[in-house]
Amino acid sequence: MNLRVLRLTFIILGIVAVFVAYDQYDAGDRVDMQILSELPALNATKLEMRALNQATPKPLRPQNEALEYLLARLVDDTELLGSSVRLERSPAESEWNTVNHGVTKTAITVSSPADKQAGLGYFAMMWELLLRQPVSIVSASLKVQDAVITLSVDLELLALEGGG
Amino acid sequence: MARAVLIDHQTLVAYSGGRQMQTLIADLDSVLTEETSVAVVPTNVSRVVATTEETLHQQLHDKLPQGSVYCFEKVDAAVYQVFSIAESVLASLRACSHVGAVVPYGPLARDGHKIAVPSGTTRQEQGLITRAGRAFLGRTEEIADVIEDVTIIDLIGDRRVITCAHGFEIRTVRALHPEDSLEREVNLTLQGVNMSSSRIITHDRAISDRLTEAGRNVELVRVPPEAPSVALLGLRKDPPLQFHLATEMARMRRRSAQQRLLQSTIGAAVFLLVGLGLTGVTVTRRLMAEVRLADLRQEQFQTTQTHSRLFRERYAGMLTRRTFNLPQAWAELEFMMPPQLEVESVGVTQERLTAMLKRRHLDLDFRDPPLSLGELKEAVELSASWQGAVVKPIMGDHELKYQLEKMR
Repeated sequence: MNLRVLRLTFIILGIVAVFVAYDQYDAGDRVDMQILSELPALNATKLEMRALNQATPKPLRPQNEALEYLLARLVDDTELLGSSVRLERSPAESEWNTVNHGVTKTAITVSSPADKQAGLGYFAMMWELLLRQPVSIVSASLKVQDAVITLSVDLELLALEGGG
Repeated sequence: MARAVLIDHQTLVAYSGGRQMQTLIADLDSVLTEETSVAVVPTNVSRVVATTEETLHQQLHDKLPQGSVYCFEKVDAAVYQVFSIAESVLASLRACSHVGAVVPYGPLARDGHKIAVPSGTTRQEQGLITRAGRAFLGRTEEIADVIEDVTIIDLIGDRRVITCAHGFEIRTVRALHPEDSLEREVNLTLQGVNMSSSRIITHDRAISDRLTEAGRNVELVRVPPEAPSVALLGLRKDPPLQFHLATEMARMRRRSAQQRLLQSTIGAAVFLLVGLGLTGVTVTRRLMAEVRLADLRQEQFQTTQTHSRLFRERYAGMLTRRTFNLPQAWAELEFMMPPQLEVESVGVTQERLTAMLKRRHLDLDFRDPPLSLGELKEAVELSASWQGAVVKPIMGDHELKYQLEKMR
């Protein structure tokens, strides 16, 4: 009689154990699926961090100061080189677009003329000055007309979101 | 293990320690000194058709006379061969403490003749075929010889016992009176069971000689001293076919039920252990996965913070690294192109790099030196920024221009 009770107990406990095992297996599977879904994002982030680590740091300015600062730097530096920079297209307030992680960008166009004889040296220097700024060059063109060369650059100016 | 044969309901012939003793059941205790298996000659043999053992028991309960004990073996898919004796005979045998297994005689003789060594051959002549080997061969040949008729004539004490087997089936078992005519009784028996052309096997030379003289073909076999008849040769320790008293049967059934209960309990315990084991494995797996997920999220959190800081600090730098150097491309064209050409414009976008070249106008009035497209292409290939660019001549109204285009 005791054996019968024991057998029944074993069977019931066994069924419960198998049920719990299945439940845990299912739960483990769900966790594994979560890991599998989150891992690619982490790997992509790591990959981007590797690329970022290899890049030169260029601290960003707040959105309301960024354009003014860039133009001031370019005008001052190019004047020293004997020419000047003009802002062809200025962004309205609403044209700032969010990039990521609190970084925002806007599109501007700057141009600068130079004498044909001195143009090569001037534009090389100006290009270097431009690349030191927190900008991304979308497109650029050099046009030679008679004795004047004009460099026109479409830029994306990067800045920190908000008013700083 | 000693052996004995119950010839009739009273008389027993026992073989122990190479000695043969004839006694009555009542005197068994004084004769037997060791555990003895008893083969019972006076048994009733019947065949019953039943699909299961349960239905067989039900049928036998109705068919057999009251106070019978029986044992059975399967002879076909749904046919059982049943041996029965009076319970009182078994009870009187069981009264002796030395009596072990009590078995029907017929199946022993049937099995024994397959083990017996034919007379006139020696052990050496038998070669590697041992008794066990012969027994094995006998079992395997059983299927092939299933319809073979065999008559075994044993000499037990002063009594001759005739066993007729048709394949696996025991047709009859008879113990002859010492004064009966052997030839006549053999003829009557074989005719009675319709086995006139049966093989006849015996271990006794006198029986063999008598039947040979009577025109019968008899196979003489040798039996060892410890089992001095063909049937006793088939009596092994713990035989599968045994008679049991009702109380013994009840005890056996009870023991069997207990054993089954114990086995099923062990099975249930194993099931529980397997279930617990699986639970352990799956819980461990889940916990490990959760730890991995927590680590991943922690790493993700830390990485995200670092990533945000790095992104704000270096994203602009990362974009600049990919920027093409336009003044350098222009300079290369100015220096590398043939002197007949000058650069009109250079442009760069995210996808391509383009340039437009035109013929140089000189103030001096002399003919322009000729310029081939091949020369221009060679010059383009020498320029690092423009290597691989496509050169296309463009015909204008009054002048010829050249367009360079290269995918970034």
